[in-house]
Amino acid sequence: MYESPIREPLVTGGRTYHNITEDICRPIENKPTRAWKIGFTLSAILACVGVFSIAYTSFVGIGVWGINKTVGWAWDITNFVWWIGIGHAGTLISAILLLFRQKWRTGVNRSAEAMTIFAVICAGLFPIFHMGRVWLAYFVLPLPNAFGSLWVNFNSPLLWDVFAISTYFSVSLLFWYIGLIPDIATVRDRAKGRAKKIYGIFAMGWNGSVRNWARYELVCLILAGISTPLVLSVHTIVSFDFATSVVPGWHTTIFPPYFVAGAIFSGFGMVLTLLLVARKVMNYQNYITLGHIEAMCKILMLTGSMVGLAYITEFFVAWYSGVEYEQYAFINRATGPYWWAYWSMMTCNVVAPQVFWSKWARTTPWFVFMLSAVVNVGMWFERFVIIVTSLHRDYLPSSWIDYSPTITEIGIFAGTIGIFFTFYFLFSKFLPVIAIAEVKSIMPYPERPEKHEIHEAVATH
Amino acid sequence: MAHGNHNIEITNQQFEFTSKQKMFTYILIVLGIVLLAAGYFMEKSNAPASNASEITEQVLSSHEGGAAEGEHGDLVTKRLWANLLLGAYFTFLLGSGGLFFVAVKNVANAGWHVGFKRIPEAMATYLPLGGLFVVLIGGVWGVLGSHYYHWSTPGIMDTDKILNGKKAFLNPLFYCAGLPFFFAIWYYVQRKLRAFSIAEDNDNPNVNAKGDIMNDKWFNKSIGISAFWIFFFGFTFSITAWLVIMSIDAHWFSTIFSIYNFAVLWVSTLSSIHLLLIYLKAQGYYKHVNDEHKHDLGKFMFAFTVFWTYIWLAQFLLIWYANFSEEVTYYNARWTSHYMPYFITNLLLNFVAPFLILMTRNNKRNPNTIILAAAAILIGKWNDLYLMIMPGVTGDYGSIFGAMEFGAIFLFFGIFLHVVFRSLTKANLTPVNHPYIKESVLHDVGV
Repeated sequence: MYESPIREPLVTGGRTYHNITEDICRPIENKPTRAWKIGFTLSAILACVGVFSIAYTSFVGIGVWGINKTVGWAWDITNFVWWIGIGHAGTLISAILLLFRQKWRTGVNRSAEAMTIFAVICAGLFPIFHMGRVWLAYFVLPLPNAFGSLWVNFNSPLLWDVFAISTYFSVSLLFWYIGLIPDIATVRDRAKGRAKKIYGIFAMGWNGSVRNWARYELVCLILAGISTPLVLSVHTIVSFDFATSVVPGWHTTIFPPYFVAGAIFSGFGMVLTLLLVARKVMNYQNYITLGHIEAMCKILMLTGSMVGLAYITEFFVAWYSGVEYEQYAFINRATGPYWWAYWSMMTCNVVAPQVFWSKWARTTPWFVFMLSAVVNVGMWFERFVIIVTSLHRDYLPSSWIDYSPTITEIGIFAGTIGIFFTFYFLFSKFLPVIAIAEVKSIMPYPERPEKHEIHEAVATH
Repeated sequence: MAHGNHNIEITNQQFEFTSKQKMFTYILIVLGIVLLAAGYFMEKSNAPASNASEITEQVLSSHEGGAAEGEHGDLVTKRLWANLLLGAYFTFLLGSGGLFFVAVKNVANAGWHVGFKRIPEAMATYLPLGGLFVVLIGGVWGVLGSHYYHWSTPGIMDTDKILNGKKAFLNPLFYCAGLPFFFAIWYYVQRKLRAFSIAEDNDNPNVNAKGDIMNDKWFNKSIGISAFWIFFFGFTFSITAWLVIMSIDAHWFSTIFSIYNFAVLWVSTLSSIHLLLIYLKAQGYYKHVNDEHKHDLGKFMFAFTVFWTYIWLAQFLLIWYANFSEEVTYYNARWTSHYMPYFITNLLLNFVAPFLILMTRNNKRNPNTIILAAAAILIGKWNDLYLMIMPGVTGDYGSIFGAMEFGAIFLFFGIFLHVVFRSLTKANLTPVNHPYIKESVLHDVGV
């Protein structure tokens, strides 16, 4: 396919096909670096804090959390929605950007998809342990009615969530794994001894034949088609958890698309946080170029503006509706006891990404890194604002109450961050962080005529 | 294989607006006016006395005790006005959609569409006229002249507490001065983007030794202004949708409403671009536009048909589920009313038909099936707008379908087509010096 030379190259530094294999397989084949060991240990310790806090909650009961009768959902659901949202960037990159033929996605899709899976695992912990009696968690499944008259409530979006998120997790995992197969085969072919056996099992007998590739590409396209509605449906159903209710500030029709935009926004925030570090530590500047970072910053700016439009629409329509409860809910968000959360959200999510109108801001890695952290914080506050400030002053002023988290809740949240990074460190050590085969497919056509035929064979697989 | 030496021929054709085509647009316009007049006077003289009191009652109840405005004759005039507003708004959406297409493709650094980029560009030239029609019909006639918007009824702000609370937004000044101000900025952006695009045609393409166009000066210039406009459009289009359409049911509100209107805009724009492209190709233009481009446009139509359904469902489901009286009344007037056939047709034409038609690959590459799907979408979107506008203006009276409905749509589509065809003659049909023109001509996805 012809490509205009005014487009920036997606792989820089004159890397050859062989260089790519070497560069990306190196961290897997070498002994772990000191930085990796330190990072992994810290994450694992943090994960242990999480496991301990979760175990404590399960043994003692969710009374150890700060939630109460009025604020029945707080950090748990905030963290749940935050993590689920973070996962969305992976699905967007692997599915929608594939359908849109955005070739730059090949540099970042593998990590983003891995991140999706780890984020969904972290997210899933919160509703499961919020159930209190977690050993009865299987009750959320519509099992044959062997427990008396007990049956799941099919009218409840909370149940739809169970289906949506388990589907999301399965499809994401499948998509990620299928994408990995050719690369695992590459690692297998280079490995020796026991590693060769283990990678060999996971490579599923991949031999790089034309038939393999044809089926692989077909499956990827079909999975992309299946995942595309998932990007929308998962967070839509998460938004229904709130929007189907009659709580002022929750019941608003813009929630589904607004949650999806916010999810993609927060997901790209996290992708940038991770990749800016990975690219530096693992020396992947030639694969995750400034062009990649710039593209992701533009998505941050776009989705940040979309959530901004949604915030303003919500505020405007609350006033316009003439419903005094709606109006109060929004005034209370901006000026009530949690005003700091509201204004943190506004600053981090709406104002901050606007700096990306400047090209300097989009192409200065340390600055983008800072901004990506700001976005992560802002999106956490968004969920906190939606959940806690809408609940803490309900229809009955005598039950108004403030909420603050206990050390156990903080421990669980910190723990999920630890779990997330533990998984990510393991992934970056044992699997190719960049999709080797896919990056090779977007290399510019070689200039040297004598190698032309070989490269053509590779490039057009 | 797809690479190697290509002998591309980019035909630099000039569109000729033949007298036959001109006549067609004139006939549409005249036929529209005739049908409008015929429908109007026939309805007016056919005042069904037995129905009048019932109608009055419904209109009154739908307006929660508005002023005495239920006379049949008045209803006929209101129906005429509502149809004109619909036609003006619908074609205005297509004009803004043309600009949105161009702007989004610039910002996304897309190349595949460049071959037929002049079609959405030409659609966008309708923007100033379309905006003028919306402000004249909606603002000058609907708000200032005849007070057809319930909130513009004289004295209503003193008696209706809820409407009084909306005074800062629902006022003639915002409608008749605010909207034209926004549209003027859109128009400025449209002029600029068009000027850059034409300037590029006349500039030196700076072709390198391999035959690639290296002059990206005009393209780069258009990216920034496109990005700015998309940002600005997001906010101002929301205000337009609230003011022109949502405020017809002045008490009702829905936060997703502007996005819903955007979905209508975008799907009908994509369908119109595709229809125009198929038509021009059949006339012997656009030889370099092939099945790949059609396939991609078809995918877009398919994808955003699902998007429209998603937004439709989000609004409907959440209102139905919560069952708040102040919100659900909107669907009571549309579903459990004389408008029920429109309500069902809406889902059939906007979702079921295009979804099934555009499902397979071959259907997306076949002009005949595309025409079928695009027709379903465009008629469906007209129906959708009819459902948004008519119940709030005329009550159940508007649920009958007659000459006026055809007339308004013929009139505005006649004007729209005339403007688009005229603009197509004003520049090359293909932006021959665009840096991505070669990408577009060689566009091949390989699926």
